[in-house]
Amino acid sequence: MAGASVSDETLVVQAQAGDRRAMDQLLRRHQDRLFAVCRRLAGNEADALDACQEALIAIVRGLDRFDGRASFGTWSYRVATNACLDELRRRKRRPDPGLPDVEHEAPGGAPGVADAVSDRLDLDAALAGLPEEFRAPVVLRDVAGLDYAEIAEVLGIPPGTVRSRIARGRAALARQLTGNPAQGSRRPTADHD
Amino acid sequence: MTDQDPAIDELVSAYLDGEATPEEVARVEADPLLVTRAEQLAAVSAAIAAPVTLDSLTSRRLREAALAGWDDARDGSRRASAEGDASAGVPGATSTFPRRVRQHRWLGVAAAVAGLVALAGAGAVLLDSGSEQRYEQVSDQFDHAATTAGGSQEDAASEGAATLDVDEALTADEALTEGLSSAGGAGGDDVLPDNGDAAPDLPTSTRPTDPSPAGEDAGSVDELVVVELGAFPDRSAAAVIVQAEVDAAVADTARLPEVRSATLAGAEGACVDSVAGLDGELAALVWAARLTVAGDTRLLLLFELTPGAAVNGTHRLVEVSDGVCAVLSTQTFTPA
Repeated sequence: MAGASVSDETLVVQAQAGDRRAMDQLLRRHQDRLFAVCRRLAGNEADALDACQEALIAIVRGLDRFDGRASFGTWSYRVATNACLDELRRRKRRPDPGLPDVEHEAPGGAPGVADAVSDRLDLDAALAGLPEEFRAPVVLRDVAGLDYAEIAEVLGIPPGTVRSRIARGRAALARQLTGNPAQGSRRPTADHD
Repeated sequence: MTDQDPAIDELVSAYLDGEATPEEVARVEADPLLVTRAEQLAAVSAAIAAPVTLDSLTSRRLREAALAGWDDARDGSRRASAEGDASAGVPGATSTFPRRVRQHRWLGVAAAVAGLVALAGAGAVLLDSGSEQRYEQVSDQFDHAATTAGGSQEDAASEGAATLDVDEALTADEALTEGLSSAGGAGGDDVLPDNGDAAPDLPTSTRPTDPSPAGEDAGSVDELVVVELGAFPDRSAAAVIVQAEVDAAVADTARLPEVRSATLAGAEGACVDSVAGLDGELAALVWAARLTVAGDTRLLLLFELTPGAAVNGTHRLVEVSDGVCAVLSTQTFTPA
C-alpha cells in the first residue's frame, strides 16, 4: 500500500512493476509543484492546465525509462519542463520576443520592487515576455527550488550558463516590474557562455 | 534604480541562491549597494515563487487523465507483448490521449446520483400534483440534469456544474443501470460502520452468482453503500423518495452486493460541515452513497441548499475523496 511515508524511490519501483496506486501516489506528491512550474512557464491558467496534463502523461508514460540516477523529483521536472515547453511551442502562443512595454504609475513616489511584484498580472506579463531560455531556469530555480546543477541537468546546459541566465532573467523581470520604461524595453539576449 | 552591471547581477543572484563562493558572499555582504540589489532580486524571486493553487477537482482530473494514459499504455504493452510486437514495452508507442482532461466513467455513476436527485424532484412533483404536464416538464429537467452532469471542466468552473465529456458520458439511467447490473465481487466487510439504531435499514440485496472481479472494469461499481443520514434529523422528502428509487433498483436487479445504513463521521463529517457552510448557505444533507469503482472508493453527498424545498430548490452533489470535498454539480429544480 502506497502510504505517505513511502519514499519516492519505493513508489517508483512499485509503479514500474504496475502498481497503479503507487503511480497515483507519486502524482499526488508531485503534481502541485509540477503544475506550479507549468503555470509560471505558461503565463496563464488555461495553457498551464493543458501543459500540465501533457506533462503528467509524459511522466507516467516515461516512467519505465526512469533509471534512478537522478531523483524522481528532478527527473519529473525535466520531463514536465520539456513537455510544457513543447506544448507551448506547438501552440505558438509565445508572445512577441521582447518584454512588453508596460508602464506603471508610481503613486506616492518611486515604486519599490516588493510592491510592484505583488501584481500577478504584471508578473505573468513579465514572465511571458521573458525569452524561454531565461524563463525556464528562473522558474526551475524559484518555483521548483532546484539548484544550479539540477537545473543544468534538466535543461541540458552548463551550470555556468544557468547562473548567468537566472541572473539576467531576474534582472529583466526586476526592470519590467519596477516599471522603468527606459530599462523595461531591454531584454536579455543570447549569452555567450 | 540605476542600470545594473550584468556581472553584478550574476554575483548577487548567485548569492541569493546560495551558489556563491565564500569570497563572493563576503563581497556582497560588505557592499550596501549589492545588498540593496539582492533585496530587489529577492523580491522578484519571491513573487515567482508565490504559491500557485490547483483546486482539488481539477487536480484529480489531471491525475486521472494521466493514470488513464498509464493504463492504456500498459494495456497496449500487454497486448503488443501477447502479439509478439517488437514495440511492446516502449512507453508512448501504444496509444494517444485526448488533449483534454478525460473523465473516468465512474463519474457516470455520479451522474446517476444526480439523476436520482432529479427523479426525486420528479417524484415529488408527481406526488404533489399528479399533473402529466408537470411530469413532462420535470422529466425535461431530469434530462437536463443528466446532460449537465457531463460537460467540460471549463463549464464546471464557470457554471458550478460538474460535467462529463459528452461523448463519454453515460446518461443518468444508463449509468445507473450499468452500475447496478455490473456490480459485484466486493463484499460488505469494509463498508461504513453500521450504527444499528439508525433509521430503517435499506434492504440487503442478493449477491450475484457470478460476480465480476473487482476492478476489472473501471466503469463498473464494485460496491455501493447508501449512507444513513442519522446525524441529520431533518431528512427531507427528497431523501425518502431517492431511497425508494434505490430500493426499487435493488429489487429489480438484485445485483448490489451490499446496501446498508451507516453514519457519517470523521473527515466525511468535517467535509459535510465545510460544504454546508460554503458561502453562508444553509445546506442539508439529504442523500449519500459510497461507491467503490475499480477499487477506488468515493463518497457522494447530495445537499439541499434550501432545506425542505425538494422540488423548488437547489441541490449540490459533492464528492469526498481522501477527505477532500469537491462540488460535482449544482442543480436547481423549479416548479412548473
